[in-house]
Amino acid sequence: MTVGTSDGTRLRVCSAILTNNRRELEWAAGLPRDAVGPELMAEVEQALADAPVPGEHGIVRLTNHLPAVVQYAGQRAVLLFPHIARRLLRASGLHHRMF
Amino acid sequence: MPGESAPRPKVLVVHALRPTSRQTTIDHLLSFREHLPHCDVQYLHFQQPVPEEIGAVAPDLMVVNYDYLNYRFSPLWPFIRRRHRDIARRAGKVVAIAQDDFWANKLLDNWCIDWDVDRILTPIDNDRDVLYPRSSRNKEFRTGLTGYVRSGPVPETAPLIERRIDLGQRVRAMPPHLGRLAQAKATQAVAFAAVARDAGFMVDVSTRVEDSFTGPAWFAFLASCRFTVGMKGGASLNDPYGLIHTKVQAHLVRHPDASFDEIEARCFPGKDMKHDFSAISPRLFESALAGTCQVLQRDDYLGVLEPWRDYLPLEKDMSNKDEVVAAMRDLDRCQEIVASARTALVDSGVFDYGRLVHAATDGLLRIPTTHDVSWDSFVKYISEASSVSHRCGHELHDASLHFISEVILVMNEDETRQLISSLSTTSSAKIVQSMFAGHPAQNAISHVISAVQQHQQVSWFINQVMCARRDRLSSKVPWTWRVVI
Repeated sequence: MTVGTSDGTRLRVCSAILTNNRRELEWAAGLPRDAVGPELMAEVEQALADAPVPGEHGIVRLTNHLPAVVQYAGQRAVLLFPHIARRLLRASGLHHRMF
Repeated sequence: MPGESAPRPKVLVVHALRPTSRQTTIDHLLSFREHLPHCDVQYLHFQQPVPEEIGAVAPDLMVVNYDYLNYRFSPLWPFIRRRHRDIARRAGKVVAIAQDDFWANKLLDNWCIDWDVDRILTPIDNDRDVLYPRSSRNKEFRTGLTGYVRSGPVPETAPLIERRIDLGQRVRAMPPHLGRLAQAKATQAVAFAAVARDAGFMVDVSTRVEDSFTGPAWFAFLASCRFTVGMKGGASLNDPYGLIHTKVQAHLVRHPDASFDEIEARCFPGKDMKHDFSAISPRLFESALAGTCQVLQRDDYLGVLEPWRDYLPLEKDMSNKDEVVAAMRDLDRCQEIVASARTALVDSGVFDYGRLVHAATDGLLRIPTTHDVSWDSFVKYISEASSVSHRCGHELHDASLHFISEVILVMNEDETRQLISSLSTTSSAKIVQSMFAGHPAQNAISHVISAVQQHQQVSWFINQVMCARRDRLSSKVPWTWRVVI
């Protein structure tokens, strides 16, 4: 049984909420309220209020002032600590922008 | 065994498809299944968790696609490249399809050695010894373009005289770390647009991201233009480890309005324009399919396009712009040029995806003599893992994986066990009430669980949870994966 178009749209909205993806949340916020449902739409609006603007995180901005070689090494070193990397990537919104 | 069919060559295509992947990447991947009907072609996303006992397969041919190799730019590359190395070492032959080789090329070259790649397909014909200093000594190289013509009927398009836009193009302003050559495409398009506008043509050329078209809208736009302007794409700066890219990014954060010359002086003085890493753009084929007359910088285009016969040649310094503009006014002649380009690029069949598959697999496929039981288990696993996309669509697949990676993977083992045990027997509302009350995404979670239950995908979902929890890469990668269907 294939997911219908409206159900598919709602599932994509769920993905946007779960991943805190600003671009997808902005897309969801532009959908008709009836298509998404009031409860999901409330979560979209809440998530959008908190969703990071990619690259605007304080630590990320701070690292931009470090020499490029240090940044390059730091980006790789932080992945040795996946939990810190995970938090940093999600908090900064960079995980949606890496590709 | 009597009645059992003869074993077919086993081909494994490793890819990195995402929800945001372009149609050309999907076409590219699907071409292997389409053009190798005598082989058992399977697709594996590098991120897809595969239990160790299932993943111990030995394909006859392993094809590694460019979307996977582009992850060499990612800090996660050391983890990613180790993941399927054992399969590559067991494989009969390994083929790499590279793109954008001029960037982080040493990482790509080292990977080719590490995985013992047999053949490398690259769109760049020049300076291969610079791009692949180690592999160029003993690996086989073949040309693999960045795009081909899809098989199937050629779309019907309007003749030039009925089109509303005279000159149309969308070009991305390329980042400075690719060098001056990469800037040329946008510069040429903007400069020629000004010439055409001054000559009284209706022009729709833009380098702004917000003006770009995605999916079928791009082809519709191209097919509504009489002319388009272009040249080969590529780069002139070699950035072996991606460090120049980091330097440029860091400089741009501090000086967002910096000019190319200033960035060059600060980040890569004296390094640019030493190489010509140019390659044919897929736009060549798209324009031919759209029946749009091409104004191209005079160059060698696959050895098949002749200036004035298949395209309007624009000199590099645009010294013949008046001659080109005059030719653009003769629509009958330009319609003949369109027909000629279509014959050379599309009707000839020389540049369809079969050519890519041939370049990648020619002479490397061997017929296995025995049946491989471990391959059968692998195929069964892959097919079950992708079943939800096949049966229910990508949206349920993506939302389920996002739920797993964002919520379930940060839960402890007891909570995960409790969730798994209640999925088959308890309604989504009750699960959310008992486990996710107060969670900022509780309605989204409820909706995903409800969809999984409604579409009878609970066992698939539980399998994905178990695999993701055991998988070492799942906790590191922040993206989700997609299957090829």
